Amino acid sequence: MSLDAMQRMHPKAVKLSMITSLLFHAVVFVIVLVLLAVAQFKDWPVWPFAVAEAVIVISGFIFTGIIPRLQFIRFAYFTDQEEIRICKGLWWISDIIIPMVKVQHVELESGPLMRRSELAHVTVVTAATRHRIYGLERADAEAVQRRIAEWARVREDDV
Amino acid sequence: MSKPLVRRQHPLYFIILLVATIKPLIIPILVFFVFGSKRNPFEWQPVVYYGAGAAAILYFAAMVLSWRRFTYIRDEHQLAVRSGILFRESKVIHRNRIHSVQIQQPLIQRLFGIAQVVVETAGSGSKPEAVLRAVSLEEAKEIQELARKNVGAIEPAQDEETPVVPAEPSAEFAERVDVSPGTFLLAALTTANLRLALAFIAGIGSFADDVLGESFYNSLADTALRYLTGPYAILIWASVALLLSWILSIGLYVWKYAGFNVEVRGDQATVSYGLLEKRRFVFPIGKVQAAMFVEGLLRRPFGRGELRVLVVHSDKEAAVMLHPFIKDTDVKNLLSRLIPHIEPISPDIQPPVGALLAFVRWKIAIAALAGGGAIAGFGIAAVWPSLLLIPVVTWWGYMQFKSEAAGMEGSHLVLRHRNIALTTAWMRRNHIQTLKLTASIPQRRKRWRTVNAAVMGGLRGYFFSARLLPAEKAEQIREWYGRRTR
Repeated sequence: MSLDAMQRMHPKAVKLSMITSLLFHAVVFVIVLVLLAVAQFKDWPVWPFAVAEAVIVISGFIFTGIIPRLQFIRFAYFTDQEEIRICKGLWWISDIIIPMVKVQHVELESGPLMRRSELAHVTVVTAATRHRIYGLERADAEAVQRRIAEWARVREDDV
Repeated sequence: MSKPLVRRQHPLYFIILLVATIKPLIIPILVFFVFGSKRNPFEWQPVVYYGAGAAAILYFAAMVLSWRRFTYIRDEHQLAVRSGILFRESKVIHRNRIHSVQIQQPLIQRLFGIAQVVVETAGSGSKPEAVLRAVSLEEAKEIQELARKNVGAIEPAQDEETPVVPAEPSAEFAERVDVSPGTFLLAALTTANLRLALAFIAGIGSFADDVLGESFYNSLADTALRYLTGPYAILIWASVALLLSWILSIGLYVWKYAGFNVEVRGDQATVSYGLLEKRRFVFPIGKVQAAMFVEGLLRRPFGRGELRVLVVHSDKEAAVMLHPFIKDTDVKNLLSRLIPHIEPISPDIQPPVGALLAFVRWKIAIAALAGGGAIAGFGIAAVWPSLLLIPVVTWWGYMQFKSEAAGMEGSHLVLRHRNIALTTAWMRRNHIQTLKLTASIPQRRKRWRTVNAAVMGGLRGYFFSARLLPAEKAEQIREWYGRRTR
C-alpha cells in the first residue's frame, strides 16, 4: 500500500507542534536573554549565554520549521478490521503492523493546547508494545478508538 | 442501547488522597512547628501564610477536579476509565485483556471499610493499567467479577490458533532434562558476562576509593605504574580485570544455575535451579511464545549455547532457561520433545553482499579514531595494539554480516541477530504481537530493511530482529505476517 492511500495526521496538528515548539523556544530564549543581561550587569562572562542563544535559535528553527512538516510527511496510518499499520520516522523510517487480534486496548490522550484545537493522540497497546497515532481531530480520534475497540473485540469473539 | 452508568470513586477518596499526600510531609511539618515556634512565628512574613493558604486551596481544587475527572464505566465486556486534569487520558480495557484484578486494603482504606482496586493487563509492564484508589467493597468485587468471568479463557496472545499441546496430556507422560556436572562446569567456564564484568570493574574502582582510601589506592597505583607504563600497562590492567570478573561470573553462574533441571508432565513444564536460593518456574507448555538459542563468544567454538523460552507469566525473568549448554545440533530434538509447537526452522534470507560495508565501516572509523588517539597519546609504542584493533573490529562486523538472517515456513518465523553473542529466535506467527520494518533513509535507497518482531516474555515485550535484509524478502515476511485469509 502506498503512503497516499493511508490516513495522515490533521494539518492542525502540524501547526500546533510548530506553535508549541515556537512557544517553548521563545520562553527559553527570553530566560537566557534575561540571564545574559544579568551577566552583562554583574561582569560574568557573557559568551556562554550568547552561544546558548545561538543554539536556541538554531534548534528553534529546526524544531519549528523542519521537523513538524517532516513528521507530517512521514507519518501515516491505516486501520481496518484486520490490522493497524503505522508508518513514521524522521531518519529511521519504520513501518509497523499491528494485527487487530493483538490489540489490548486503545487510549486517548491530549494536553491542554491540543484540547484547545480539538486534537488528540490515540495510543494502541498490545501485550508487548505501545504505538501512537499522532494528532487526530478529537472526534476522529474518538471514532478511531471506538472502531478499534469494536474490531478487536469482534475478532476475539470469533475465536 | 441504554445509556451506560458513569461511575466515580467513593467520596472518601478525598481523605485517602489527603492522607497519602500528608504522610511524607509529616516530618517536615512537625519540624516546621517545633522549630518554627521557637522563633517567634509572628516574624514570618505574611506572604508565607498567604502562599500556604493559596497552595492549600489550589491543592484542594485539584483534588476535587481529579475526583470529578476520574470516571469509569463497567459493563460485562469492559472497563472504560477516563482521568486526568490537564493531560487527559481515556482507556478501554476489555475483560479478556485483564490479567488480574487485585482488591487491596491498605491501612486507611481498611479503617473506612473501602478498598483499592488494581487492574493489571499484559502490556502494562510494571505499572498497573488502572488503579481505583477508593471504591466500596461491593463495587470492588463487581469489578473483580469482570476478570473472573475470564477464568478458563485463554491468556492474551493465544487467541488465534491454539497451540498444539503434547500428544498425551496424562500425568504419565513425563520428560526430564538434566545437565551433567561436566556439561554444567563447561557452561560455567564459558559464561562471558560482559555487563557483570563492567559493573565489577566499576565496583572495584569505587571500593578502592571508598574503603581503602585514596592514599592506599594511589600508592598501589604508583607502585604498579612504576613497573608498568605505556599502552601495554592498559592491556595488562584490562586483562587482570577481565580475569577477575570471569572468575566472579563463574561463581555467580554456579550460584544461580546449579542443580538445573527441567521436567515436563502433561502440558506443564517445571524448570528449577539454584544452589542455595532455589528458583522454580512452572508454566503450561502452550504459553511458550518463542524460543531463543544464544551462542556466546566463548561457547560458539564448542558448538554450544543456551536455550531459553519466552513465557507469559508474572515473573521478572522474561526468558526462562531451558538448557544452559546445549549442542546446536540437539536444539531441534530438545524442542520437539519439550515444546513441540515451536519448530527450529533454519533461516534462508540474508543481507545482500553490498550490506557488508554497512556492518564494518563505522566500526573501522571508530577503531581508527581510537587508535589514532592512542598513538597520539602514548607515542610509537601504541602502534601495534592500535593496528590490531582494526582487523578485530572488521572481523566483528563481518561476523555480524554473516549472522543476520531470517526465514519463515508455515506458521514459523526465525530471526537471527548478532551483537557479540549470536541469538537465533524461533516463534509462531500467532505469538508475534507486532512486526516492524525499519530502514534509515540511505538504507531505504539501497533497499535494505531491518525486520523486528515483538513477542511477549514475562509480562512485557521482547524484541527480536534481523538487520539489513533485502527489501523484497522483508516485504515477503510482512505479507506473511499481515493480512491473511482465515
